[in-house]
Amino acid sequence: MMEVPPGCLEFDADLSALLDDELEPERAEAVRAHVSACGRCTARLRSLSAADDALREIAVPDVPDAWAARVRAAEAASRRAPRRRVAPGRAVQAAGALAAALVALLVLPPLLREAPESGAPLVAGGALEVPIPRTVPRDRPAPLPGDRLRGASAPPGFDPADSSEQQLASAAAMLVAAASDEDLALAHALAEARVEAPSDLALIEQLAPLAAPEQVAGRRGQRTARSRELEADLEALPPDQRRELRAAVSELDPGARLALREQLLVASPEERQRLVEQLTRLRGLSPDERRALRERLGRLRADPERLERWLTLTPEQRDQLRAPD
Amino acid sequence: MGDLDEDVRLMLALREGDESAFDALFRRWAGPLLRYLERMVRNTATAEELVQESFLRLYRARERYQPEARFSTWLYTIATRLALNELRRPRHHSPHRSTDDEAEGAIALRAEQASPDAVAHARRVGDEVERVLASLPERQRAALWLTAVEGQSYAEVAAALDTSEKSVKALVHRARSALADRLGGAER
Repeated sequence: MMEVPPGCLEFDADLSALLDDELEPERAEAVRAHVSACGRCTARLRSLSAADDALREIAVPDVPDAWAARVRAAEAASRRAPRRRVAPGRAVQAAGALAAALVALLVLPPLLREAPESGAPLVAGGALEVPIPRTVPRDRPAPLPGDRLRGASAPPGFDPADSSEQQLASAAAMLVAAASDEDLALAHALAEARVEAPSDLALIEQLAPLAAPEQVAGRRGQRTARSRELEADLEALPPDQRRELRAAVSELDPGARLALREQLLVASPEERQRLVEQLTRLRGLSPDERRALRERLGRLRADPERLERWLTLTPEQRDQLRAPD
Repeated sequence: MGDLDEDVRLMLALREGDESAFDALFRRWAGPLLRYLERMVRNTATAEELVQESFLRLYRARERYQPEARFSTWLYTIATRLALNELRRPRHHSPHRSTDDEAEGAIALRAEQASPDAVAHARRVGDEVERVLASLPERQRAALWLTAVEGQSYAEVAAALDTSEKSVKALVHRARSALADRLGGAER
């Protein structure tokens, strides 16, 4: 702030209010009288007014008209599902089953009546002896996004019957917020390697060169194109869901965040589903089991070419590999 | 400021169930609101989300609308509260580059008809405005914008910021003085 001469002190603080026409008439009169006789305050008033002009000069950005329809659609859908705060926008493939599963596994564990089938391996005949529970233990608190919600019950408006993409995003955000950074890093690595079950790691390790290098390159291109599509999917989420998802991700440490941004915000619904499933499974493993997984994965990561080749396999090819002879 | 009666007319039409009135209000106000929110939260993606959320809340409250306050005051009050809540979140992050990039683009666009000197000057002043705004405490930023750009009274701003008119007067004075001081420097 520039030095104010003593004679101007009592008026200086009112110059701004004079511009805003917020002074009592008598006071405004007195301030105007001073300004008209004072070169310094005349210049000051001019510069304050110029500051306003500079603000008003900032261009108004264009906003797509489609946003209005999106807001109305969100509200209309929330009326149809009154327990949800914000309603679904665009449904995305493969979201429903995951959302329902997540709700069953994570959000409403106290409501589960059947005992969890813990210990049942997902893939029979796997070389890695890691039992993988099909559900999270019932005594685990329902994880929710953010500190303010952590350890609480399901958020208001979370509707287990709603299997939309928004529920998926919300459930994914909850899961991510509750997972440890270590879990996230491991889940990311597993998801990145398209490992459907830890036993797949053993298969990858044994993998002979099954795919030609051009297949590997082609797949990279597909991933880029799909990422762009999925940015659009993310765009279609209602604002508070998107914000919640972003916020949950932003709470993680930078390494885990980077990994997750890739997976949750840019990845396809299928990829996101895979990550979330990996996280779900990891949460049921013992520390020793996790360590074993990490070590095995560490070895694989030292051989990226082998991983890339695994990525080029079709699901059918992977099933063939998994099938016991 | 836009045509006040038109906003009230549209809002009353929306209250009576005319959905097209909502689209019309959105077209009139979403751009200016985004411009404000971008400066408030310093993150384009978050600002865009808050614009939609502001309109969502407005839409939900349509049946309770009473044409006592100006429509824009009501809308900006919703938006200001959302923005301040957003900024209070511990996870709120530092400026998103795109806001600055876009601001720079806008200045360049406005200045494209002008002489090279004028372009450079506009860019310098525009950059400085964004920098000063970003450096102001959030309530000063809101108070100055709502007063100087949106033409709201101190009473209206006080209601939005949940404070007194006296406090708004001080907020606006400090913010405007800081901007004037810095722009005075940029001019030289």
